[in-house]
Amino acid sequence: MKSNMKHDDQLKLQAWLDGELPAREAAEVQAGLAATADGRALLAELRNTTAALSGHEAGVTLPESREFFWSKIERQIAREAAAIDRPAPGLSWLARLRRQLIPLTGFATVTVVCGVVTLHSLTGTDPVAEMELANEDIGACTYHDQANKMTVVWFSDRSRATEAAPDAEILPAMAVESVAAPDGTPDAK
Amino acid sequence: MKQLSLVPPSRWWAWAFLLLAITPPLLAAGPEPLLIQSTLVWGTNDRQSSDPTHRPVSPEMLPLLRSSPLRWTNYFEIKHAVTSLTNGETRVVVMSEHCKVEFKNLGGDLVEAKLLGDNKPIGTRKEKLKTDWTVVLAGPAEHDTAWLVVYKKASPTNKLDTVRAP
Repeated sequence: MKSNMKHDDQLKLQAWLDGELPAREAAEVQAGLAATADGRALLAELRNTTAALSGHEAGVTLPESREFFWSKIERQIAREAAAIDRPAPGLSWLARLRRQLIPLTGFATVTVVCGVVTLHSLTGTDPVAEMELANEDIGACTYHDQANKMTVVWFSDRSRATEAAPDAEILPAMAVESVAAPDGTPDAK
Repeated sequence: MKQLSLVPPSRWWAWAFLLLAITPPLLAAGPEPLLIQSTLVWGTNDRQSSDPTHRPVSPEMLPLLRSSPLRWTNYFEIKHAVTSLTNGETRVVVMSEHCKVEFKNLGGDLVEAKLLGDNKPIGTRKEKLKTDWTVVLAGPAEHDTAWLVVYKKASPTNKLDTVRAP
């Protein structure tokens, strides 16, 4: 059907028919729009449609009120939010602890190993230092000075041990065993 | 909400073991050659050496030697050398006509120093050379003096294979 009515007027007329307009506005529509030819034609069509549907529309009854329905959704959202904050119910405290400790333990192990290796390479004397003498006539005594980071090895000739022993003066802090230079001492003087 | 992590916790042990496996070889590998600086020193109570080519030891070495159990008051440098040793390499450093030191790089800063007098071995010392650690091999010389071979790990800034001698 061709109608010259504006869309807003058509909606207003439908609202008037459904009884959804306030009393004052309903009176205006009844006196104005509903009295026009287009208005009457639209009203007739709407009434026919309503009458056709009302006889065949199945009645649907909500099992619960609107407020109760939305309150259920709200409670469900709250429950799920709380579940995220809580640890998984399937994990025991031991499992949760282990879960936290495994990465920490791994990291700590690597750190300690690297630290020990680095420390060992940077400080202190080497406990596995070895001293080997060419023959039994040569004696040697070793002095370690941790403060000055120094090792002194004093070589001496045991075969001359019966002579006077000035080494006792030379190395008072060391247990000097014998005296005299090994063969081939450098030409110091 | 799922927690995001760079490395999944289940993989932590794998990463830790991987690090443990590769760290020691990386630290021990040391592709740089080992530098050893060695100095032949004469210890005496004389104020001056009769040999004009002798010079007093460095200001760093003098307090070190004076704080040692050695009793001499003056120390003169006869020869100084810096030697570069690759892993497994052996080099003989001639300190004087009668004194030589044979250094061998055994890897991982482990150094063997064999002291030779008139080409005859006197003693061999093997140890891991630490940074800034000084080793002194010494013995008595004529007229109540002493000879000293002082060696230590040199820093890479030292000129390689340099010899300072009269």
